[in-house]
Amino acid sequence: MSFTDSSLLVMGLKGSGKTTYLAALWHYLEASEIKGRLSLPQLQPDRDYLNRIRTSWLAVKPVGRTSMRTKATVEMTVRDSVTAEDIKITLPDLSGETFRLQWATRKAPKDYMEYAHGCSGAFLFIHPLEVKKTHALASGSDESWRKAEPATSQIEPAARWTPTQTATAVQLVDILQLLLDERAPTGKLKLAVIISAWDQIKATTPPSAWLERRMPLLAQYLRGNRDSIVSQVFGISAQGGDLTVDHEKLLDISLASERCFVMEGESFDRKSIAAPLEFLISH
Amino acid sequence: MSAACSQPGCEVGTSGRCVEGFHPISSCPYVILSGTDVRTIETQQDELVSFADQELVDLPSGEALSIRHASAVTRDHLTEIVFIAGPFDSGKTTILTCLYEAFLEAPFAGYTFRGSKTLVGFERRSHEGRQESGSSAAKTTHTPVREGVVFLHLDLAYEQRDGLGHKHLLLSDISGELFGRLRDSSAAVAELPALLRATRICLVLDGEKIANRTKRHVSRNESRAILRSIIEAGALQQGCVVDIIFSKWDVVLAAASEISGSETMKFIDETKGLIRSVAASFEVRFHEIAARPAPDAKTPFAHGLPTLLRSWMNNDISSDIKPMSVYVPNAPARQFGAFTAAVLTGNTEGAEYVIHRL
Repeated sequence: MSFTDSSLLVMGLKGSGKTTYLAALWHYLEASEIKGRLSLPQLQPDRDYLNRIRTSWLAVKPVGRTSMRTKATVEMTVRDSVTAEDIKITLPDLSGETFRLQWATRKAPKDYMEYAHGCSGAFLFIHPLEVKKTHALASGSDESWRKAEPATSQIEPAARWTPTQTATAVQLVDILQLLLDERAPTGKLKLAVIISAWDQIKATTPPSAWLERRMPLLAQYLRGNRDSIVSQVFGISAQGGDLTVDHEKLLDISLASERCFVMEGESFDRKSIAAPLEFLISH
Repeated sequence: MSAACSQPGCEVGTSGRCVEGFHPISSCPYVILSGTDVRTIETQQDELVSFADQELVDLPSGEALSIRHASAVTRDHLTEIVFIAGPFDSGKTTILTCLYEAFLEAPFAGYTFRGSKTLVGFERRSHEGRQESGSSAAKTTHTPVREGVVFLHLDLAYEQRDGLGHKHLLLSDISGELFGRLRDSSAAVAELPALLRATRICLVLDGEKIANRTKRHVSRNESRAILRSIIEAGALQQGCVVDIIFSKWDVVLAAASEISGSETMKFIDETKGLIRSVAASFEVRFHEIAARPAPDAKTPFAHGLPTLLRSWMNNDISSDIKPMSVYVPNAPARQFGAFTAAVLTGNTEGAEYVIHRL
């Protein structure tokens, strides 16, 4: 059995599903209700944070979000049955506010920059119902355009530009650019783009096509940087449904790990909740 | 409670006054509060305080690049420097923001967005042309003289036979007033070292003025005089290409369709001849651009920009590359952007797109 280290970042704006995914992933690995490629050969010494968020997840309750005062760095060792390796994973669960403020203030916590410098891969979370876009106007009076296409922007109009008047895709590209600039040149960055709450958007397209359609700038950025980023897009339902509407149905599922499902890339096939992690730590 | 701000010139930390005018200052997205007596007021403030209490490092501003920062790009990367000249309100900044808006929607003109060091600069300049400004009519923020010479940056990728290539573009954004000085003073030209490094100079002629009988002569003369001033000062390197842009081409076409319209087109032909004679020792290319035409215009959004961008990029894109994809919502009620509309009407100037309806 060989041993490697994998330092991963968890990125995404507030409410993008980072902590919920961690809770579901932890349960999948630790409870081992479903046998998969990855397993947990032994418990890590500090499990307080993971067990806390898992308790909420198991009870089909919101797992809460990570505040900036919660220094939640997860460390665990997983065993990969395909490569026969034990992989030590370090994974800081940062507040989504950190990433919003990074765009708004052009400052970042030193801790984050140190993680960024040494990371081998990253999760990038996107909540599909929170994707904000901007809309270019034509010249002159554009009332006809407005009538034909009612305003759908979720961005509050303001006469003067502030950083909040920015599309989600632009903010995420900025986060990725800064990560690439900061990261030590140790091979390509592996990036798992995770579209969370996949069950809620009733997508008729696979995750890759969803990203192309809804966030074309981000999709271009990933394609254009394929010499330095290896990426895959995942659609993930970490809860398995709506916490209110589907509450009873979710509680009725006897193996909690079976609530979650993942779709990968251009496929509609259901995969394990650990698929993004498998992608990030595979060679 | 104390505060600090990332906005240049904001003295909120010393005077308590927010340069952006936000009250209370905690509502300003730039401000960082620190201290201990506001922690329980509300969650957002609490988060701001927690953020400020950490050890923070400064990130690149994302604003348009100074000459010094632009030089770092040229030092490290294959770069085309495009010096965009033109009188006040001729449409220089609009061309840049529309190029950016097009990439927000899809790959453009054979190129894929690969990055930008000036995302904040693009966003700031694009705001008045967006629905999110609260306006129903697009405007462009005019570049203030005090900014001096700054550059917007794009890193664009393209398919080659042996894989993906990419090139950096530095696009100058300079106030029209500054170009007035260039026309009137050789010393002003000499003070612009950025010109010496330009691989392309792009002169914008205001199409709206060209279409207007009382304004066209002054407009043409201003642009011709600026070009002559720059060339005679020896400010252009050998091999520099001169791109001449007739902006607001939708207005020119509308004028050309009127009874006296042939005069407008004759005037444009004569203008081309005059420009060629001024820039006889340089390669001159002419472009008809309607970056953001009126809704009832015959030209689509970004008309002429694909050809202009390919000229700036100065490379041959492989002819056997795959067509680019544009994803269009199938439901008619769903909104799609101005560039996607141009693709749907088939006006893509040679760039091939496959339309996916989702």
